[in-house]
Amino acid sequence: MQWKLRDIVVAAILSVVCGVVYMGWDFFTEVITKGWSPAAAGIVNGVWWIAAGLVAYIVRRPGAAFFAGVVSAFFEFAFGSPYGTGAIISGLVQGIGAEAGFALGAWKRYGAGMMMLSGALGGVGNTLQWYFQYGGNQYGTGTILGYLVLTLISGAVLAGLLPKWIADALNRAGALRNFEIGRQAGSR
Amino acid sequence: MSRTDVLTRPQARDAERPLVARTPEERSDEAPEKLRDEAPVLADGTPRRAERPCLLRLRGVDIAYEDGRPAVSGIDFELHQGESVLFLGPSGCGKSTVAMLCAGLIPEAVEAKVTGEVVRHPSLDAPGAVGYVFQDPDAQFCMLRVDDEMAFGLENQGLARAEMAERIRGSLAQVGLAGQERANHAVFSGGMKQKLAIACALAMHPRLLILDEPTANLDPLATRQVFTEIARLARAGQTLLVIEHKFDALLPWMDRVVLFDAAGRVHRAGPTAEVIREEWDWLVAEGVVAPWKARPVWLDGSPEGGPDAPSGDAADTGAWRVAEPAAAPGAARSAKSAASAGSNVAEPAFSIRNGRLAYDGRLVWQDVSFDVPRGAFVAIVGPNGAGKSSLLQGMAGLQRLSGGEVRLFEREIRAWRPADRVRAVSYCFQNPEYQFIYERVADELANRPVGNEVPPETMRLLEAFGLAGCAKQSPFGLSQGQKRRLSVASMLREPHDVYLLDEPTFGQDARTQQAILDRLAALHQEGRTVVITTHDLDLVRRYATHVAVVADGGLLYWGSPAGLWQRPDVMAKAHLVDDVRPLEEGDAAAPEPQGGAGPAMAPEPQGGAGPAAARPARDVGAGPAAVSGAESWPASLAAEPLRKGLVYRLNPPWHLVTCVIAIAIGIFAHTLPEAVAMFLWPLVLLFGAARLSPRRVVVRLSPFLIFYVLYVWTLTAYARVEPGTRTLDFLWMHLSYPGFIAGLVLAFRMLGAVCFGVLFVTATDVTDLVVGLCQTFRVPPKFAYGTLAGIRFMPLFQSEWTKLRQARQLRGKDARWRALRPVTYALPLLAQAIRMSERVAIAMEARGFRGAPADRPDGRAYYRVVPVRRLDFAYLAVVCGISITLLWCF
Repeated sequence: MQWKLRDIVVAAILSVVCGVVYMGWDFFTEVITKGWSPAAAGIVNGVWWIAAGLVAYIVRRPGAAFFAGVVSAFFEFAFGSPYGTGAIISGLVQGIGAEAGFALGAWKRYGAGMMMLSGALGGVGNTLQWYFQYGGNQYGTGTILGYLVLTLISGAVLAGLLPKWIADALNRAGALRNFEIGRQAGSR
Repeated sequence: MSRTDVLTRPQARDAERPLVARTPEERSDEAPEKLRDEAPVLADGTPRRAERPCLLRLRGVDIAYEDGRPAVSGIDFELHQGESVLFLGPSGCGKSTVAMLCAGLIPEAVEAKVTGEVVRHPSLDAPGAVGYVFQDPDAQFCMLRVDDEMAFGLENQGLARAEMAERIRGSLAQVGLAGQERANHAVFSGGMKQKLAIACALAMHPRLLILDEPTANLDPLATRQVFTEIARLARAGQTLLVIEHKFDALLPWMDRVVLFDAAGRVHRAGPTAEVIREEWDWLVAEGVVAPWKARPVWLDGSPEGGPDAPSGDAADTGAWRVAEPAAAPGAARSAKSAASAGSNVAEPAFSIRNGRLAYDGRLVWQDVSFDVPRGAFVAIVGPNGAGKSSLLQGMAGLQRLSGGEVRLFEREIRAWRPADRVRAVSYCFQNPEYQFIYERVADELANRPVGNEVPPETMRLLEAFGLAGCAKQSPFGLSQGQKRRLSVASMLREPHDVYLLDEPTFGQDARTQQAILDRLAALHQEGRTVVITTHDLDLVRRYATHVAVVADGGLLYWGSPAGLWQRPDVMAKAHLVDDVRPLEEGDAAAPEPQGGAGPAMAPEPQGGAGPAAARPARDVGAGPAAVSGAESWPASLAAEPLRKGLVYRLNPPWHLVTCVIAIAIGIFAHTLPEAVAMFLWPLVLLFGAARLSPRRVVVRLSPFLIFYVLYVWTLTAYARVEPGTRTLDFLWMHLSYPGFIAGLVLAFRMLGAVCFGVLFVTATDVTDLVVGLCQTFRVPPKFAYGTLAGIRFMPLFQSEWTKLRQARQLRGKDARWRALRPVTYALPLLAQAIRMSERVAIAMEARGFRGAPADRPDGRAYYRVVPVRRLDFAYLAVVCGISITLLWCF
């Protein structure tokens, strides 16, 4: 399935918007979670790969989740994320995770279950990076497992169901009728 | 020269422009029959419409959109080289659809089903053979700088790089933007943007140029500039296809007219003068032309319409709209209320004293004082960027003035309780979409979700505004005219004392305008106060009791419309009638090559875009400096660094790779000295290779410090520790020294990552990065340039955000907590972004960005060269090598 130019521009625009959200989230979550419990920080993680689910759900093309993950992370970095260039690595690993989910459905299935699976797999990438780069290996096994489980749940909900809800709302508002999501809904 | 034009009211002449007024006898020569002979001739003296090759032929063409939107059927149309054709018809009748078919955008870029015979001359299929200028000045650019923008189309055509600079310079000079190559077009005014869009199309030397409502978003002055350009092109023999609602001034330059009816069929096609003269009543009946508009003056050259004709004769002089106010419903009162404007019979609805407004230290207007009597119908007129909307927002309490005061019913506007103010004042935004907060039309109109039981009063409103069939549709999916009617209807839902409307009729067809104005007139009759901003002096003449002219940083006029027509100086200064004044001989002459653009063509930077807006225009006037600057850059364009320092010469994609590898190496720093080294090394690069001053480095890094303090704390409190380590237990935390050290390690590592980030961002031009990705890493241009086009929208989000916030406050629907605003604004903001990106994608494809130039990195030429040198690999090796060495040593 060929990407249309408008798919790309929309993916870029949504990724830029998400990049801004991520940047704000970087600072916001730091204050509300980290100080209390490192494992609990996992619960907010899903927001950081919301673009992957959102864009993939709208344009429904192979590579959409990865593209959006990387581009949004690049903009998070460019807008001044405290994670610096590390944000780009986050985008890569989370994008690969989310893309793997859609690949399992041969890029044909975009139901709630698939969105949750893809979101959760993005969380696997996130947890790996956390373990190696952001001090995850300094904690006890319980904390690490807790972080992993919470991140998977967070990914399934915040990076799976939330973007699905947003895109469905946009679709209902008529903004997406020229995209794959609008076409598929129309043909059903 | 074969053509001169007539001004019917000498007072309104623009002082700077020499005019030739004709005697009535001469005018009668300009009978329509003779017009064909008088048609503009080419430079070599041959008549325009000789037997030239047919570029395009449509026979019985039907177009249907995939989503079932109504389109066109049974279209027969032919276009010959060198012809200029005008499409007219009510809004939504499919003019643009046919134009997009002619451009080859349908069915490729815009999916639609096309049946019938479409014969296109093969020469039209090359990239850029058809230039297309769209109506939205913000949604047709995809690059950041003027020269890159123009080069984008040339790259798609595969033009040799050496020729690009010359083409760019030539086309910019043609439209009066000479010397602007290096400007960032985001600061341009709407008129300059449209001229740039035309220049982009012209640079590609298109066989056919299509202008699709190029002036729909422009004020009279900018409209005139674009019309002038169109007239010049028509003279020069450019094949033109024009769609335009404000077509009067263009008629003399158009060879043929095609009329479309509301059902999307061709009603009639033929020579301009003949069709317009014979079909004028049809145009009025179809809602293409407002019923109060008189025929264009050059059609029926009746002698009474001469320069010295009595001013009250609206039938003739009204053609050119600068007639004196006729007896309109509201105008009956105008004399009396205008006389009392200062003396104050009743308590005024609004009273503004010494109003002053400045943005970022730039003055918009000052010394604005006037009283709006209760029951007045006030029109605020003036150029774009003069602060009309700001004044209206100030009156609504949405915009805090920088000085002076606004009193609503004798009470300072900001002293009103917001809820009371919302009850007293109703406000309607220029873009109706800002106002929509529900997903269904009926909910929107009821201001709450109503489900399937639409309340009777809502039903009545729906019917009154011709929206009865759309109750369950999404407001965003309506046509432009329907959206506007819905926004006005929802504003009228509850009775208010004062109605403020920002450009209520802008960009609407005649029928929608009439529906809205009828409502406003009814409100005015009920004794309510109505204040609108507008560019339409016809409307002012017919409805307003008071006019405020805002221009040149102040209130140029306040009083009755009749009084304004006695002040040609004010009308000229505020460019109030530039769009309807006939184009003159001088306007269509080719501008001089460099810096010699005539007054009508000079770029007019305008307010609203901040102080930077003034810069580009000054460059043009700067003469030799600007010109020599423009000449010297092409050679140095490729790689000359703007700043001293090694990193500015790097290939951006490889630089990014270097930075990512370097921080990946940093992950292996596990001890404090290692981590500090991982931080100090990029710091050295910031000072040495990027030549940043210590102060700038500190400023750049400071926002992150709190962040890292928290990281240190988290690890101090929760890190896993060897049994037997001393810990300080506190609640569920156990503070430990090893944890503290681990936290510091992490903090320094992350600080290192941020330093590399600052290094990359400082060194990199985003356009170079995108071009470099195509040239170096073979990324398909579609992805690279498509992403860049998306980035362009970032600055727009801020203004959209502000408008959304205001709209919600006015509806009494703002988020209760500030922090919730992002949640409530997200959907409308995203929907707007999606709509704009669709437009941009179509505009990019219209400039030849499809097929090989979009899919293959080697399928296009490049204006910028982003070379990979040995330096890039040496830099990668050194940066990573030293990182590894540092890890080794400590």
